[in-house]
Amino acid sequence: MIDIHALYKSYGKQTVLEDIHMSFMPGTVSGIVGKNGAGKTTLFKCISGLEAYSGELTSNYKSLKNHIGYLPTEPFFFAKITGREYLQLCLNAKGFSKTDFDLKNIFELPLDLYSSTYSTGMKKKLALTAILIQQNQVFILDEPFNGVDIQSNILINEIIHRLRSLGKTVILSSHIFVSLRDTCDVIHVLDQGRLMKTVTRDGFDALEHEMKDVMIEDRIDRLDLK
Amino acid sequence: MENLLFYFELQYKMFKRHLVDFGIHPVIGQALIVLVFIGSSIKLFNYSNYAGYGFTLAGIFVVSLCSEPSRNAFLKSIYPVKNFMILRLIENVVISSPFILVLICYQKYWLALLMILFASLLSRYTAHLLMTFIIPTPFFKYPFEFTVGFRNTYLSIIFAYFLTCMSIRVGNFNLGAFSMVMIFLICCSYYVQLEHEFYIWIHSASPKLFLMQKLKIAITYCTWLCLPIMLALGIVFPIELKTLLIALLIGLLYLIASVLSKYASYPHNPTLAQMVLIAITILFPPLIILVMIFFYFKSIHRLKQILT
Repeated sequence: MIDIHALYKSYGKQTVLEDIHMSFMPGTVSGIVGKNGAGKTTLFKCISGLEAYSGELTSNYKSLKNHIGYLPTEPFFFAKITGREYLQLCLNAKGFSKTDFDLKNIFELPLDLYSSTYSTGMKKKLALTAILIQQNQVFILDEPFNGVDIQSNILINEIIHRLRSLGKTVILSSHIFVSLRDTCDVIHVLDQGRLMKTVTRDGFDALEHEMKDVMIEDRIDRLDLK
Repeated sequence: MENLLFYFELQYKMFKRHLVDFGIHPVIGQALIVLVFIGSSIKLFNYSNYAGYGFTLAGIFVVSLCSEPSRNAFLKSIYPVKNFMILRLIENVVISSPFILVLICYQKYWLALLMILFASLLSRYTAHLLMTFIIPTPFFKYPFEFTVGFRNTYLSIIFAYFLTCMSIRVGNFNLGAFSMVMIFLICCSYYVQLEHEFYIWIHSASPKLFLMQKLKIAITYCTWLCLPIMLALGIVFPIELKTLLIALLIGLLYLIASVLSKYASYPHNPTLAQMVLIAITILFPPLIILVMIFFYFKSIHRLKQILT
């Protein structure tokens, strides 16, 4: 279990996260939604140990960071690294030895090509494969469906369901509400760095309508499209 | 330690791949890098008594390249905290060691110590603060080379101006001239990185017009950066005014060659042959005109495929 209590994060004078209280249970999938700049990625980085913060973040693990598989929105790749080497590096980093990458290459990526030549979706799939084969307990997936083809989207959806049934903790963000509705048990809504509400499955439809109404308002009319 | 060893083996493998892509055999490439580093260090230290400062700054700059935020975030996310710290420390020590050795050879012990200190500190530092602070730039009107470049190198520019002040204080014109050379090298470095095709494609211009615009911006903005140095040195050393103007002209010619060289091989990095050509012109500067013409026509050819 991961418990966040009164978490604050600022960059200089700019407060990005303010008084965040959240809990993430094993065997559950938690979604984080919010506009661009709401603080989702910063929250993920705080949980992953990539950003310093003030407040409390506790877990059952001695070092939470060592049990997390983090998929950033735009994964980083060294310039001249092949897909296979990237997987090996990520595996080695967690202290695992070699594995059969061809067998575990579920997205059928060209592992012997430089990862820098991959498309956006392929890069995302490679980074996701890496954190999956690391046997992590907690998965933080920042926009896992972005830029990924429809077949892989279905596969990622199924992977998330499988992780849940294996008792793993999954935290994800997505701008595609359908994906969240299909995968999440609970959705946290962030706005300007604050947790506005937490919604469980039975409230997803109402949340979707509410978000639509707030977002659309008269914005399209203002464009004066003719 | 085994997993750290794999990381360094992989880094070495990737470094050799860079050399191969550059069109040079890894063994020859590594030998050349060592020779160029030793040669330029000797030349620099023989040139000025203050070379140690510039050399240390260059070393810190090279080491700081490894503190790039997304790179650090990736390593931090895949390695346990302790391993990450060890890995970054080893990395910085390895990269800074040639600089430290040269400083020790020239008995610049304090600077060597400073270098060790920075290398160790930088291994624990990620450039987070700079991410939120927008560095103001006088070059906002025509993005992106000078806008981005200035933000990446403003500390080096400030250091160059500092060297100019030092040259005036100690009455050493050569040091001032060196600060001007530094500005030219910094400006040339803005044209090393290739932009995405999109940034060329969006221009409604012929290849010729596109290149002319790029050159105009490069010449104007580089002259702006050199102007404070030229004015200060021109006032304090009026006898050297002619030398300053010649230096400006030569510097701008090399800047033009850098811009043209970038597009002559676009969308690939400049080739070894291009580098050799520019290196030859350093031995015989008038050749730069011919090299520029050659690069110009090659650039037009490359840009035609994107702009027309």
